[in-house]
Amino acid sequence: MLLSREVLDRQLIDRRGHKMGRVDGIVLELRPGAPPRVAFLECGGRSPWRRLGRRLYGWADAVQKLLPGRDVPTRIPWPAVLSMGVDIEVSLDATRTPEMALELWLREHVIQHLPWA
Amino acid sequence: MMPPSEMNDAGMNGDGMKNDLRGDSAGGSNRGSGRELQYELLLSRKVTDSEGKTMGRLEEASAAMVGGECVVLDFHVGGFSGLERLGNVTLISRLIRTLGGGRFYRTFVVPADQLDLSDPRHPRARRPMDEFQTLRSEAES
Repeated sequence: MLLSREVLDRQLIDRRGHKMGRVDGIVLELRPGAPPRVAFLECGGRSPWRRLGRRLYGWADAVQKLLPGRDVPTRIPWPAVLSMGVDIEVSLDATRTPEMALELWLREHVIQHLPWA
Repeated sequence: MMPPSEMNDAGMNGDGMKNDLRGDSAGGSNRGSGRELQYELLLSRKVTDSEGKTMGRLEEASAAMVGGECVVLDFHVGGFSGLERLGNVTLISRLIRTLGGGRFYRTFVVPADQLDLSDPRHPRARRPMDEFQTLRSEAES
């Protein structure tokens, strides 16, 4: 398995078949006397901006802090990965992760109050 | 780590799960037994060998499932890191390798235990670059 080509930037699908963002980061755990292992996949939050340089990351950081639940990335433990292919299926419920916090907040505080909603 | 079947409903639901899934946005941190490192920030970092010579940039890592864990086996270091990240350029990279006879496009395969990541900004191989296999020589053997 090639991490850059087959994992990074792949679409994440939760256990209900809903899209929950893309793999923005991979957290390796460095272990003394053993090869590194993939500990988490990260999505959302500030993680995609990290790859674009320090300055852009700083700007994104400031904006993300204003949004509820979007300031830190969602971490998916590797054992939660069910299958890998074109998409990566995970055994989580997207609505119960921080990744969906903004969407749920908007639904509750904005969309619900629209007269035509 | 907990198996996926337990993780679905046992420890990962409710607010507790949300807190568990919130990541530390810092580049590296110490959690659990080992040190954490953001793989995507390693990409395109210049890698030097044990003698200080530049081998290329970190392009890729290959991993495999070992004992239920996804373990990194080796890192690919070469001069065309940007090209490597585009999925559909195998033909182009092979063309460059063929035309250049391996001089322009050499990708070293550095075993995970031979790459010193103690300073993630300056990854360093533990041996001289000539001692590492290249992707080309792997294909030939």
